[in-house]
Amino acid sequence: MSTAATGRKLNEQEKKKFDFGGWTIVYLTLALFVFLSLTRSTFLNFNNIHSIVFDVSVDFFAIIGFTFLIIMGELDMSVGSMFCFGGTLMGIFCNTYKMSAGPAIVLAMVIAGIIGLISGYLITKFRLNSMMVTIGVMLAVKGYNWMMITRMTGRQLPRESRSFVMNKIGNISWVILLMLVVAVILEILLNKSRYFKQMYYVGHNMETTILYGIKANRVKMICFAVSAMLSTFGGALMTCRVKAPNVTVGSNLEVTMITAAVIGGASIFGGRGSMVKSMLGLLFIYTLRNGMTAYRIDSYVQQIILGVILILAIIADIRITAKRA
Amino acid sequence: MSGKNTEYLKINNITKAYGVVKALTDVSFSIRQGEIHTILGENGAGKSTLVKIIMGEETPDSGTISLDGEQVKTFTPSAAQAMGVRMVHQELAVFENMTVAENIYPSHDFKKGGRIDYKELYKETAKQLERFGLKTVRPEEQMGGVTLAGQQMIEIIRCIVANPKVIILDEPTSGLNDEEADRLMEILERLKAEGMTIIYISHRLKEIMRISDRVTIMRDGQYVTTLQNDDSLTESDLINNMVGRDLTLHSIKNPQDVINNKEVVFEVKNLAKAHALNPSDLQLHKGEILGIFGLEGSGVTKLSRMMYGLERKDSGDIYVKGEKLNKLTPKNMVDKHVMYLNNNRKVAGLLLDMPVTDNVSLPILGKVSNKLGFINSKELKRISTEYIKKFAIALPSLSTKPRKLSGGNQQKVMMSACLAPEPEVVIVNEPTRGIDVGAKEEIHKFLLEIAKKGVGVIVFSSELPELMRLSDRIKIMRDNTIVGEVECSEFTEQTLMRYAAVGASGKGAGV
Repeated sequence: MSTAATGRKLNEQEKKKFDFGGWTIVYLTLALFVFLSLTRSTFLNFNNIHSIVFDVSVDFFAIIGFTFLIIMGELDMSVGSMFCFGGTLMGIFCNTYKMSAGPAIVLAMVIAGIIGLISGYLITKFRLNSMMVTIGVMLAVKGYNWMMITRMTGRQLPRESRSFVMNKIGNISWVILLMLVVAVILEILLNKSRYFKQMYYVGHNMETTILYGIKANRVKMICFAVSAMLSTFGGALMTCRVKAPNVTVGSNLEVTMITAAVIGGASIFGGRGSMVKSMLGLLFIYTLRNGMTAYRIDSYVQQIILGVILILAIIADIRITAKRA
Repeated sequence: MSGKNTEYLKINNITKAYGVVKALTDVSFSIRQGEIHTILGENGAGKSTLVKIIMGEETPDSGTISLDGEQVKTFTPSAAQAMGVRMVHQELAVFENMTVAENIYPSHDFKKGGRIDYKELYKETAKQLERFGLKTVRPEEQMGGVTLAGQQMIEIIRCIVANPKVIILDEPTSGLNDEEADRLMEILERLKAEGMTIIYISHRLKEIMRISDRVTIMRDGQYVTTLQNDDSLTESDLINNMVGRDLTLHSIKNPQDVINNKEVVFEVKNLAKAHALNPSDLQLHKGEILGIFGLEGSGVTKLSRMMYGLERKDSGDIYVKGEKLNKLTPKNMVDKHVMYLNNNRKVAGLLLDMPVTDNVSLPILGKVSNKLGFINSKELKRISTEYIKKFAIALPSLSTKPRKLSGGNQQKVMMSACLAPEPEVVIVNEPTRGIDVGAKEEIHKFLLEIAKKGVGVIVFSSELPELMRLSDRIKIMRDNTIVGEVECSEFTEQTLMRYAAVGASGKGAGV
């Protein structure tokens, strides 16, 4: 008797899948867009929007691995310096060794991937705190970046190795289009593919996934490598855009990433996160910055505001987690 | 009794339940002043809950406790300490990076002008150490450098210098060798001679017989009896009272139902790890239910975890259907169709905050996805719905999270996850811990049913009636060793308990 009752109830309830909580970031971004376009005449201008979205698209590559890791309950604080590392290596490969852009980027990504694998290995093998290990990596790589970039003394990359970044399809940068395609594909994979979906399980309870035959440590290691590689890729693109390796490229990026991922619904405790929403989180932050500049808000004050937003997002995360538990 | 209070610590009608599970039912007995009183019982008999209540770590649902005629009003650890009750826990709680003296007097009792008077502290500590025969330990030594037995003794000294009225010792000899245990016994006897009241908890019958004045036996959360330890008391008396359930209430497996299949599906050969597991062997046949029984600290959990690759082994091999596993990892086990049901669903085995469907689908993700890894969500839903119906799990919806379910339903969800991949061997660890009778019955039926279909089942359980109902044979562990095996036709609680508590099978008083 009870079986039949549960069976019938199941079907009714399954239809209600719409989850209001998950749409917060969409509402926030929309509200910000409406507000800025109504109050600032320069905001809704194609060039302005394109420049915001281009910035998002470059950073987006760094948030891919970051989102995977946050879903599994790990943090990668080295994204910023790996981002800058991409520029450093571009400078070395293209200027010193006269390589062309393609091979230079691939080689840079391979090197970054090895660094990511090593930090992933240390974290999983010795059960170290990922935040601490990646802060160590951040400092070490940052040191290397500064050392190499000051030696290069602002030498620009050869024009032929950097101009590809500015290519456009129609009126829109190819980087933006690539971001949109990648974000949608990854979103689908995260929901439909076992290889990606298992990350959520690992984030919820790693011991359980090990019990049921998932190689949780290996998945984490791969994701640390992916995070490092794609951050390097994003950084290489950004460096081509600013023409020369620069130590300020990617600075504080890890903080932007946490804020973006968390206001995009990811939980620092693991188990939640979405690629499209992380991207929207970045869009929200860049739009906010753009708007604040349009309102002539001092850049230091902007930083204070972003800090407050991060704290608010973390509080919201804890409250959502507590509510769902 | 020369002025001594015969009802010094009085436990009156104590009842305590955790959810639907009754940990203690109407327990009453008294402890005399100046005696060594042992509390004995199987795992889950209610000893630790009772001790927690005496120590103020839990509040009983009903009933009272009084010490020396004074009734306990609030159940908090500080109230219990103020009344003069101290306890030495089984897991040592020492400050390894501090000196022995600081460990014995953690609240800095020796002060001079606002500063610690180390001279006096060390002098007093040295006096205490000598009194308890710890001549080789120096007061200013680091605690971490002292042997385990020494640390244990120092913890007892820490309790004693507080001048308690009653001290409780929980399995104090579990980490000690025979000689060290012997010394501890001597000290306890001396403390008793000085008038201390001691509550002693142990599984070691030999020790209990040696030092106790009286033994209170508990079973299934109820008080059974209190026995005077005089010349007529035998180990058999203790065992019989520990297990003496009315077996008409619990069915024992009918020996005629024992499956006589000689095909070995799972085999453990010489599995061993230093200080954790002595070389162990076992064979599981197709369709057989093999029970493994052991009291706390007997090594059962370690064996179960080690044979599934959850804990590292030193040596030994696992064979699944005659094939040796090159690398013992949970992943390889799952690939060979061996599944593991964890003993603590709150720690691992369930995704408490993910929908029930996700819980059931986790182990079968590979099975329901195509070569590119895309999940067939229709198939997934079909399988999870099938198991939910099979177990009659009461759910408001498929997206309900296990955290919101009762213990019994949580256990059924975990069971579904384990069985959804249709394994050929299942290792179940405490399959019915902390769940209500109805759910227990369903899980038992289900285990019997899958065994009938040819699945080999290894049941680790601390509940004898459960094992006797399910198993074709039972292996018993004691001191990290498999000490015996009993066939279904010879199941009696006494035989099994004797192996677990004493180690020998003989019917006499042999030890």
